[in-house]
Amino acid sequence: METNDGEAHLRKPRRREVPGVGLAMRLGTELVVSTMVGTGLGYMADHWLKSSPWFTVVFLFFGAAAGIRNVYRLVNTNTDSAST
Amino acid sequence: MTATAPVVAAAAPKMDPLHHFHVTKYLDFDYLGIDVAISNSVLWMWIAAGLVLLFFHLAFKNPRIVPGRLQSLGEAGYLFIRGIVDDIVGEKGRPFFPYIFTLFFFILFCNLAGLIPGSFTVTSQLIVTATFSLTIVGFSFAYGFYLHGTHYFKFFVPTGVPVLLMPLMIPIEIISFLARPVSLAVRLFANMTAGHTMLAVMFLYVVTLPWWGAWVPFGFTVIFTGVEIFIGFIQAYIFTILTCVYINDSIHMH
Repeated sequence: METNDGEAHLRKPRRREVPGVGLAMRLGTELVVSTMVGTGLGYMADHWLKSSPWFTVVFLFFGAAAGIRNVYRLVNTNTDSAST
Repeated sequence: MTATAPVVAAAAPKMDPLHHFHVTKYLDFDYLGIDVAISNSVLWMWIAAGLVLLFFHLAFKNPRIVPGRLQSLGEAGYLFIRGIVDDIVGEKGRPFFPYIFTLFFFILFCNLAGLIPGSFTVTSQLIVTATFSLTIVGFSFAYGFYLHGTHYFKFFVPTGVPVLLMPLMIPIEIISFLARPVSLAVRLFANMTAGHTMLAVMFLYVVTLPWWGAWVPFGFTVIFTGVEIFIGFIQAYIFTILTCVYINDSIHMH
């Protein structure tokens, strides 16, 4: 197998951009899942500490913020590896 | 709408668009209390793995300097994944190349094999994709911890943020880290499930509509099968890219 092409990748690192569709598909799930995970964590904390709505409410917003931060970071770097 | 729905369901008890996601056991095995039954899921995993092996076996059976059609397809696949690994992780990603290569082709063939009518889509089960993603994220976390020690926890501390905002930013960073395996798993699972459900619903229309109306949803299924093939590729690609990104994060930190 010829590896010339593979070696060329090594010498000259180039930006790899995910096709637009891939990026679009990531954005939606990123937002939803982060919110879900945040709320889930809050719910678990509430369940554990018996402090009913408080942790759920606070972590809902933390989760949403994490989702927005993920989307922002994703679009900003265009999934370029280094700083994701 | 609500009045007709039960009638349709009663008239066609077998026409459940989610029917092809059911896991059925062919052979029941029990090993030390662990359920290791051979189900249709296991069977189609084997088929997908077998197809990958067959493809690369045929592609490189008698390699030539000027590659034939199948060989150039195999080489293109190899160079494609190698390009991803080299671009995103770089030199230190080389030890992980075999795993990433296997992962991409296994997921790709699972997605594509799921499009064969009557088959089972392995990647439409959340537990399968969750196993992949938890393995990847768990490993990359452990590897980062192994490489950097406690220094690795700086990963959760964003740079260039005022100290005053730290109590706010650190939980956000931790949640966004914890969301990684979930979003990785849910994305693949949701895309495959949604696409196949849509195809099944459209085929339901083909069967239930009279002949002069059936060709509209039928034409749609033809087009949408093409889209599904594309989505199968894209999802396998995204999964691979993100695996590389996570491994890169644990090697190079920020």
